[in-house]
Amino acid sequence: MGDQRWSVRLRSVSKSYDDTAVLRNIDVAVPTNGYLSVVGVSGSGKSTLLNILGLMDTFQTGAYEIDGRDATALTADARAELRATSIGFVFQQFNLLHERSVADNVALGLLYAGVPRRQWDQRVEELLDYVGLSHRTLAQARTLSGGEQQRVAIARAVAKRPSILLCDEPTGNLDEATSAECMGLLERLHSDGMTLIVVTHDLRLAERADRTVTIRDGVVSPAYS
Amino acid sequence: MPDETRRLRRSLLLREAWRTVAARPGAAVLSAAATTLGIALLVLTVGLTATAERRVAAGFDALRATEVLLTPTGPDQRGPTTAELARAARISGVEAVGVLAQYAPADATVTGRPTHVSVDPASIDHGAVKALQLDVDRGSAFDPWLVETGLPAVLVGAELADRLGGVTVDGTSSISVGGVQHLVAGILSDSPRRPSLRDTVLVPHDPDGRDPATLEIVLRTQPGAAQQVADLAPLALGPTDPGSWTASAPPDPDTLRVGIESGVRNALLGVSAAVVVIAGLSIGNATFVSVLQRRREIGVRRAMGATAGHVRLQILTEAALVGGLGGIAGSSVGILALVVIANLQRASPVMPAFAVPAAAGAGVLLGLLAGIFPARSASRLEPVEAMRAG
Repeated sequence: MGDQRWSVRLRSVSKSYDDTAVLRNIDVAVPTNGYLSVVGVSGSGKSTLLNILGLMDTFQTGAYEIDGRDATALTADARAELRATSIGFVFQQFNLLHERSVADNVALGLLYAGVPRRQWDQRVEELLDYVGLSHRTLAQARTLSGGEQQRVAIARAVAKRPSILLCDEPTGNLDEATSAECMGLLERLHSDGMTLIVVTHDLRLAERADRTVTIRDGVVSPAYS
Repeated sequence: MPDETRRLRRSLLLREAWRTVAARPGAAVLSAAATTLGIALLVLTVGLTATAERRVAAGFDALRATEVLLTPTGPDQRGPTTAELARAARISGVEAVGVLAQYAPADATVTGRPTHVSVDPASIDHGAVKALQLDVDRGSAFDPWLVETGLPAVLVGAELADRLGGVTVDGTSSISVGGVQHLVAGILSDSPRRPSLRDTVLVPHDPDGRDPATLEIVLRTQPGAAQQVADLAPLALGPTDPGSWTASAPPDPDTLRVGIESGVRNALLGVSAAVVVIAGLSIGNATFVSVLQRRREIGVRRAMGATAGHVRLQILTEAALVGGLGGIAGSSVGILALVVIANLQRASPVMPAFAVPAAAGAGVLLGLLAGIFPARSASRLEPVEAMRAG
């Protein structure tokens, strides 16, 4: 494993809110272009783990490397920069801007990544074509079905071509057929070279990953070292 | 990653803020409403002041600036002789010369009617009718035949006629002034230079009659000639003793204008400023509430890579846009209100050229100031905390 290139690598990370430990000595590592699923019941700490991996949250002890870069001591702006360029998020609630158009929502992923404006239209068109929504470009996000919203959210997450895609219960609000469709889309992105980390409580979904870890009471098993 | 890729272009930030504001037109209109009102009041105040300035200036130029008064320097209120008046009339720029004298208050009543009114009788000569631009709409000012008869006759001011009641000019009504009966020769309907004359009686001036309380020679001049006429008139009236008459030229129009309007303008500006402050608080409150409602959106933006600075700038830009929209709308409303009010007053609306761009700028500034606190509050939200918001 010495020559392994890691996309993300947490070592002995602990996180607590006030006096309540949420994560205890976590070791998680995902190789570049890996596919990891994290399974756990509600309150087990899996969302906190995802937030730490996505640099949305900090931790008290331990170390974190992302794409070979030490992320432990990054400033808030440097963490935002990494989120803008290297990390894509897909949420259970989709979290689209409902009053804005589909195209505007996808372009949000380009805005903060600093992609020049002249490239936006083409990139948005390509992405919507990729997720099968090129016919809904100008539709208001609120008018889309759940499956369509999640596909727009995926397009937004990968618009900046991140190396890591973090998904928090991506099919939690979708029916079975739409879930399969969205997972197919995510796995296609993984095949194209993206590191995919999916947090879920759905074991069938988790089994599709290269590797699955379980998180219970803030402890990951099997531990990876 | 090079720095320039992370520095959001202002145009992109402005575009994003504009699209965010435009996506919630209802909220934007409500937020901008108070600003619209405040800026409209400010614009209206500036416009009304400018309109009033123009109006006062026009009135002043037409009346006061074309009038010179001569009063006896000493206590002796002796009237001028005919020769003296003729010399004054020959001064270049003089259009009419006349004498106006005021007497002690006297009791006036129409014969056969119970109403008694205390009046300050005045006397005028024929020249004063022209110099003061008196308008007699019934009867005549000083009918030559009537003057020749020597019968005591009076012109009655229209307001006094209304107060007394029963005043006619058909020879059937007479009026008693200080116990002396006078025939009513005419009704003075207008006296633009001496509005008070509409509330008194006027008798023909008799140079040999009793001494008046005050006496003045009124010289109506051509526009722009008043000061020069005021310099020459005492010499024309008394070549050997020019100090016997004191001339008073009209005051400087600009000084008069400022004096008239500064109080009104300050009061209006004070009210407008108060409304603008309220408008600022309103935008601030609306923006703050909007930030609370959009915490999850802010979290999403942070997840997409927005820094705290990006969030702060976006909220500030949105507030400035709303303020600017309010400023533009306020200017329009203010101008419209000015046109309506000026038309009702039969005046030409006047608006300084700087007012409209300044109003829009004031709206933007107001929005920026009002947005500072909400923007700071939004930028301090931790990404994970914002994402947890419902």
